[in-house]
Amino acid sequence: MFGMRPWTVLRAVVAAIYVFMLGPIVITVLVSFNAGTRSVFPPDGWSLKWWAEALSEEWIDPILFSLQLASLAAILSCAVALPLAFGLTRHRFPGRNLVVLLVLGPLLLPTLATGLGLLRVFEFSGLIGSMGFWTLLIGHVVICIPFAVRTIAVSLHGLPSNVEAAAASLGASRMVVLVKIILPLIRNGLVAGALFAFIHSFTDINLSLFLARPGASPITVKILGFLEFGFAPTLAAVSAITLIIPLVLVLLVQRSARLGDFIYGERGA
Amino acid sequence: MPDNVVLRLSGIEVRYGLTVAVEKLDLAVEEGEFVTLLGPSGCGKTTTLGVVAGFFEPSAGEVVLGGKPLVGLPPFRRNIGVVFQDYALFPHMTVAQNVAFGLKMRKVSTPEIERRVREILSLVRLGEFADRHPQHLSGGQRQRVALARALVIRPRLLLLDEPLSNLDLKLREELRLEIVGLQRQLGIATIFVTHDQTEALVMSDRIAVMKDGRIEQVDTPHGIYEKPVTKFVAEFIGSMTFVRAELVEPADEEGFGTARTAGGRIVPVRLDRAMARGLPVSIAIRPEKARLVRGNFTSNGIVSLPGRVVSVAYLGSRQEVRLDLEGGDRGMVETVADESQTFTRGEEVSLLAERQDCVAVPDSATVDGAASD
Repeated sequence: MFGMRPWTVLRAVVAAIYVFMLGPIVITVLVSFNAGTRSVFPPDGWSLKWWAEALSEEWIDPILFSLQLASLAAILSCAVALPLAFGLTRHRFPGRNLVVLLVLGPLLLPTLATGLGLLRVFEFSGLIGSMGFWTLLIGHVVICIPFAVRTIAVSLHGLPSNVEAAAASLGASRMVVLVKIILPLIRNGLVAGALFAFIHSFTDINLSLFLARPGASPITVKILGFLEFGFAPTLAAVSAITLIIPLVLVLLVQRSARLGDFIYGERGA
Repeated sequence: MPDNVVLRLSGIEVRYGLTVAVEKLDLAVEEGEFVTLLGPSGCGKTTTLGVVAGFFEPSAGEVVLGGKPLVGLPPFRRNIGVVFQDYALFPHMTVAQNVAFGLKMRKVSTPEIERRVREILSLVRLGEFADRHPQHLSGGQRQRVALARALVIRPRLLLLDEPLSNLDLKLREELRLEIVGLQRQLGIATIFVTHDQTEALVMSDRIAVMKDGRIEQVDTPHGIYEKPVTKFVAEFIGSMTFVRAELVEPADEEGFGTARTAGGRIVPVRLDRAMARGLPVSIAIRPEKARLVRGNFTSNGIVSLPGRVVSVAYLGSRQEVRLDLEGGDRGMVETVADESQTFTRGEEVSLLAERQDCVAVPDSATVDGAASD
């Protein structure tokens, strides 16, 4: 192996990474078309019956629940992140580091800890009795904010200099500058932030475990609950559905905003 | 110029913490006038422009535009057109939309907007580029869009912040004339900020030379070049031979006095301002006003400074000869390059100049020596 050229080694490693990342996903999808009642690979025959089951009310309801939750969490976390990103990129103020820490907090702490903390808060504030969609939403917004702040801040950094001053000199008030100049120019950052927030919320299990209640469970919690009875091929089909939703979104967004800009570099919109 | 003043800055001061960016600045701009703020980077010229535009609030002083005080008024209520060095065009809008932006803000009717946008774009020769995005234009074209965008709102005043600095030389020379042409045609009072002395000389009605947040001199390009009042101004514009000296006799009624050079020579000098006897000065001589002769030459009424040739730079029809002058100063003479004027390194020569071409300027920033830098 040490006799091989370095590029060959690198290629092999990258290929191995892809196999380990994508392999299980491919297997899950294939298993969902299994004809038998057990989840085996390779499938011992082909059938769509598990997909029919996965599309029944029992599974579609929590999927729709998760979709609503993730969509709202994405929109709300961006709404909170926009002024936060503005403050953090444009101003030096006392306590700025504290705000940075608070914003990053959910990213640094185990989500389990955040979940436990939120549960205690809801308990103390007497909300524990009426927990459901809205309390889950609050939790999801909290854990999604760091992603949105990050992409929006990158966009704000990338704004061409003086365009705001130019707009102001032409007669635009600060509100008009925000709506007509800044928002269109940081659109990609907003879209990317919303997308990352959506995916983070849609795939979250750690936080949801603490905040979910019967009748108000995201799909991830539902899947985990079902796993106690073994890995039925239905689960493979459900998993495939939850896989397709974010994937389609990423592909749609990628057409207009280059998401890589927000992950690999400081290049803005 | 009392009645004709559009903009008056008085006692402007800008401080950032302990640093003073602009200090006690006074400036008046007349109707239709092209005034240039000229100075090295960090001299406070862009800050001064920002105060006029409303991007910075001065710590002290007044800005009055067309009889209306501006301090405290946000930029969007000032009706001042600004053109930036980096164009600052809106990348998400077409050329036409960029230009129309200011008119939309003024709630001008759509047909009127279309008419005025078309008019101004043809004026800057960009008629056929109306539907392009700025990214698809060259630097020169972008700057003309920025100019059109600032002019279309018919501002009371036009501010140009180093608008040519990002362009290459040839384009810069073209745009200089184009900007001045437009400015004359529209008759709009303009403040132009630059560090480029040639731009300032070519374009301006008057030049304000700035240093360390203060205006050293305001005058016509001719006045700045011919009658600099401080050593800094003399040095910043064009090349100059400086001879260190001390004032012996202040100006007579014709404006001439005498000075003693560092080499101990008593020479006649021109004095444009009253200066006290004994004041340390520099005698400033333009290279093109000086002549060169071999050997040691003396004559009454003519300034003659002996020295030694250090280098000769051949420029085709002309040549630049650098000298070490007696007393340790460095001299430069620009002469025609013909056979009668061949000089070699190390040769003993004399730099000759008429007394009206030898201007005594004080070494300190202020003429009276009341403050120094």
